[in-house]
Amino acid sequence: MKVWWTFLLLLWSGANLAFGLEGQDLLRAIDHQVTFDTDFSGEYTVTQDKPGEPKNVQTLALFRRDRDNKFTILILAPDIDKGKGYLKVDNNLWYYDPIGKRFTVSSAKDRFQNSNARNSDFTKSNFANDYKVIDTGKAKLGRFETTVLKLEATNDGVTFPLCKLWVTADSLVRKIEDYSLSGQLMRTRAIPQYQKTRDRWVPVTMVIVDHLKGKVVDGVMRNETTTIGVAKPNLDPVDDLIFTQGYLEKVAR
Amino acid sequence: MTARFLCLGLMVLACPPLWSDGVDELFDQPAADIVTENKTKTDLTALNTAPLSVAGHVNANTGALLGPASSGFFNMTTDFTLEARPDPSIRFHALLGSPMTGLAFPTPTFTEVYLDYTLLGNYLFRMGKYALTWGQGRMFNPGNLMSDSANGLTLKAFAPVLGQSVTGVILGNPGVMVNPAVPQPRELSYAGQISGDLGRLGWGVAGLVRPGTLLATPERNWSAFGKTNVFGIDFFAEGVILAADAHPTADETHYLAGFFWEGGDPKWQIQGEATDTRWGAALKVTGWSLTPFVHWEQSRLDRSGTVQTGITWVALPHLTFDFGIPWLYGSDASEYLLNDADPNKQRLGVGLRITLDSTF
Repeated sequence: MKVWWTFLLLLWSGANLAFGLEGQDLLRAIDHQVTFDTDFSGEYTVTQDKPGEPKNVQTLALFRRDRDNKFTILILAPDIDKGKGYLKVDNNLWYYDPIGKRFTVSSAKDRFQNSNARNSDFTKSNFANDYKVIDTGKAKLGRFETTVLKLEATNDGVTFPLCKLWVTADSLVRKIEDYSLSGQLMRTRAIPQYQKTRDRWVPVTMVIVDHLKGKVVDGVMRNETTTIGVAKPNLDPVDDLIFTQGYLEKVAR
Repeated sequence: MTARFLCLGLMVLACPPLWSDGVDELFDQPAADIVTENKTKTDLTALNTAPLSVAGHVNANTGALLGPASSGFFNMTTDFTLEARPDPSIRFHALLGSPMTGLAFPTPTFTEVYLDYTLLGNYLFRMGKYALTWGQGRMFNPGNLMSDSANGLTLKAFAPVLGQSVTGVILGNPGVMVNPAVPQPRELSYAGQISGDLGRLGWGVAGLVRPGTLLATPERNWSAFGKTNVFGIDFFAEGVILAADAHPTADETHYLAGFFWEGGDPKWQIQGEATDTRWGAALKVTGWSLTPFVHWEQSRLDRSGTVQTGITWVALPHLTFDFGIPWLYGSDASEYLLNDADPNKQRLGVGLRITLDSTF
């Protein structure tokens, strides 16, 4: 009996190796690649490009403690926004307004600082718990050979109920299309390049195209885009204080 | 239902977008993935340090309340903020203000002055004169055990403990001290608060004790709150005891329940609150040059109340026009009529105000 179980296990493992991970296993592998056992900090540059308007650039410090499902975002620049911040603990997300000296509850689904990014773009990846795979396929994405996963949300807490992922063999997501419940394409996110820090991965750049917002410029429809650059990824421990409302009040201007 | 949803999803996912977003071109010649050394770190020095800076603020406004007994007004306030963060562990802040009184500007006084000290990167201390607010209410706040903080000196210590937030406070109000130069321990208030999150539930308990003297009335105040967020709406409930001793009466127990929602583009702000003595609701829309609002409050004791509707218009940089219709209802001796700032206690009026405001 034991021999049979061992044989079946070997067969299952061999199949996985031969054909790659599939379904929820692949979602778990995707989450694992970009989730940190340690603390994480990084400097993010968010560039908002609205057609026909000057680009708006913000610099942020992001601190993540994935094991406790926490993050803190502090705006470093421009001066007018310096010291504003977000704190997420479990499913609660607060925004601190230094002028009103109050915390307001925000939602992971909300737009980040009126850009095309959502607050959920900064939290840890949780595809395996939030979605189930409803279809898979193979496709070429530029020079990448990818597995394409069509996902359906398993809970109402996610920002988008349907999405489609392009995943390379190293279980890194290269492209995501986010859809509304009615099937409207809302956003496309592209991550053409990653950086490896110890054994985990962080995007170098993420480009977000907003399909709901745009303008016709010179007769051509141009979507609003937001580009997020990530620099100085670091896995050193972060002070507990940084993940508190008290800290946001302290650094506020 | 699920099958229908699935079919719809698959159909839609199979459809290409109506126009090319140009995203796929990013993958034609992408740069290779890289390995980053764990050496560089986000520098928060820019946020935690700053040389001494002085900022000024001036606000002048004039207008009139038109009604059965029309009257006009003119107000002007000037204040200066001094701020310094010589190193990440120290912050000094002072606010020096002089509101015009009787067509004259009195000698400026400190409305805020405090020193922050961060010990070992994890323990925060703030000492000085400043207003500290606890409690969950935005319209009514019976749970603000720190309401006396604006009247004197406050020492606050804050630390994260086991993922929760612990705050300790000592308040001293010179107005209730026999000799403020030598405060007695029984004249001071001692308060503490523990707050945190349990899944989707935010919670907190707080207490304030002032042993008391002849001048400083004894206080034994307690509060506990719970709050959560459902569909983006913040719901909260708070129970409060404001008593002089350890045996509170029914009249000394209070509650607050309410909700707050902010969202949309332009941004809508909708809130509603109820206490054992008040009802209230408010609506405001921001994000346009015009900001319309409605604000309603009513006493549950005598059913007097107020409804204020209006529009704020940011006409030009620094220049704001406010137009409002305040309506007071209830008997002449009712709570809202007696507390109304208008000396003529007009039931209905039209308010106009022009404000010039600038920071420099």
